Amino acid sequence: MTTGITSRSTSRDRRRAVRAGLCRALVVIPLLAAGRPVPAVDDQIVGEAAADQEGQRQPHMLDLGMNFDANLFEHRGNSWVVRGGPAPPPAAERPPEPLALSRGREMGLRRLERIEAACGIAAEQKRRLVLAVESDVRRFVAEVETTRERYAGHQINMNEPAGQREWHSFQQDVKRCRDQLRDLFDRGSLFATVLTATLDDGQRTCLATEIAARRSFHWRAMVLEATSKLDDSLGLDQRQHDALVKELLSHEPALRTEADMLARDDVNLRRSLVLMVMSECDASRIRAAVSDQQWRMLAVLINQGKAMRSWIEQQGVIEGKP
Amino acid sequence: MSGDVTSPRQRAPWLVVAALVVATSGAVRADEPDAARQAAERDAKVLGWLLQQGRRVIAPPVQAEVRNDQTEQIAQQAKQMERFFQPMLHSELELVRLCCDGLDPGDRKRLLAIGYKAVVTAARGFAERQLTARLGRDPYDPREEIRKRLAAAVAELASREEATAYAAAVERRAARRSEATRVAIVARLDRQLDLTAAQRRAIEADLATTWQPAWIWEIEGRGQMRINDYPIAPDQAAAAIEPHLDAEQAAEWQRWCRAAGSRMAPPHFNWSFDGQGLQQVDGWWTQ
Repeated sequence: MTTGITSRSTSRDRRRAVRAGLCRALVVIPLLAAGRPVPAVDDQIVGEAAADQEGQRQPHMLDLGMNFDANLFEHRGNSWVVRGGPAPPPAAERPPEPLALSRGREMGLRRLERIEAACGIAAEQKRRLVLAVESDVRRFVAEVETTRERYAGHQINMNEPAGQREWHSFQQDVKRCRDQLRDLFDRGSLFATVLTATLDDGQRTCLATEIAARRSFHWRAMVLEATSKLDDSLGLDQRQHDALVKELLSHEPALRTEADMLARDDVNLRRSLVLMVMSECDASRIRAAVSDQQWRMLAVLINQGKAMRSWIEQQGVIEGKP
Repeated sequence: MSGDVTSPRQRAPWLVVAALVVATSGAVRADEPDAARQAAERDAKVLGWLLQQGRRVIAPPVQAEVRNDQTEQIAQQAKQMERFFQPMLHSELELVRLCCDGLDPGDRKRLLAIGYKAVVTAARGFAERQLTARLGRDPYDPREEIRKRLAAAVAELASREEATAYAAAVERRAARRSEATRVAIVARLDRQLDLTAAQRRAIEADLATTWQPAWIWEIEGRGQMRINDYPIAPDQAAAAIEPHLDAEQAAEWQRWCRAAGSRMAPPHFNWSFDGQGLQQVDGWWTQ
């Protein structure tokens, strides 16, 4: 038995030695042919480290023009996309209209459709509102295109400090454009002014009711989602759960109701928002609803929510103060 | 090995059929009214159980052997995971304490010991699946593992009233979670399809009548995944959704389902146990 194992392992060792020899030969022959010394194993490690450094020095080129539209229209909130590689060759024909125009128009008309579904608008009212949408979008396009032009065909090397600085400045410009797009038809826009002037009292009431219902529904969804997690974290019973839900529902924040804002399927943002609102509730009522043990943890979570306020406001999920 | 993995899946539909045959055969044999009623009750239970289990019955857990060289690694990983799973136990013990404050000190200590043993089992179960690449394919929920063992111990150790109170609290918590998931589904639909208030109400009501608990895992288990720039469509519940959409919404819904239907996104394991729980148990447990 022992002999068998020994003989098997000996032949295995022999096979391994032959394979290793072949591998060495495969490495050595081309190197000798290239007139280079054969590297030892430790040389190889040093060599790899050097290769890494060389890789870091290699330029990592980005075309900011190519990244502009992708970051403005495809990725919102805090997410960023980096599209590497060379810029595509210029199209034989210019696109019929800037992307900002079609996207802005699409957003405006979608909002108009929702208003129409909520309160019904006459043809003349609709004509005025479509004109207002067009006017707001054209103004937006003019501003965005000016910024966009600055980056057209502009290449940066992300492995250089100067390139990184330019990327940072690019992000700030795109962020500004994202905010403009988000607020395009909000307070201060021509659309908002025309809407107020165009709708009659009945339509305004109807629209306000629909917006309020949508806001309340989404707030309820967020509260139930967050308290369902608190059920797990704190071990709440029905009475405690109901008390927290009641307190949160009575502090409904001014959520943006536009589909575009709600489109952020960001569960962390929604939970942070609920905890932030909880930090604004009557602490004594919340404290009274839970046990000492539960309060120890809940107080920490509430503080975390409170600290998230500025970040949450930046995300544009709640309406800014007038 | 591959046979182990595929055969239970192949057998599962036959098991379901067999269960239905067994359930219905009771009613066929019953001649007496009492026997017929009992058989009908048993049928309802079996069918209810099958519906509640949903897809979990159709796709039973994937079995995989643990290789010898993995045993130590699994033991080490399980030890690490115990630390993560303890807060889950502490939170559940808090609910037990709220429902069963008449437990005598000896039983509290026994329950606590059973709880910590459940943590060890859950950690081991998790580590095994993690290191044999079965997380996501095998819907293992460490929190449920702990709760299940704790519930059995409460039923045994607590008074009948308190055990009933705890069971009711657990049931109500499950109902709350179902409601939260239903509302989350409607919210997701609303974000994508611009529903009216009446549509939201109608879909939520229909979801409640056709609800399957397995949907919770299927919806939550996909987290914030996006495919083709869409969130995953909640098309498991299509029957409760489609009748309430207008023509334009229905067309968009079809596009959405084609671009990011639930079949395109296998559920992944949700690592939502990371320390979110009470860090220690109330002093009452050791009094």
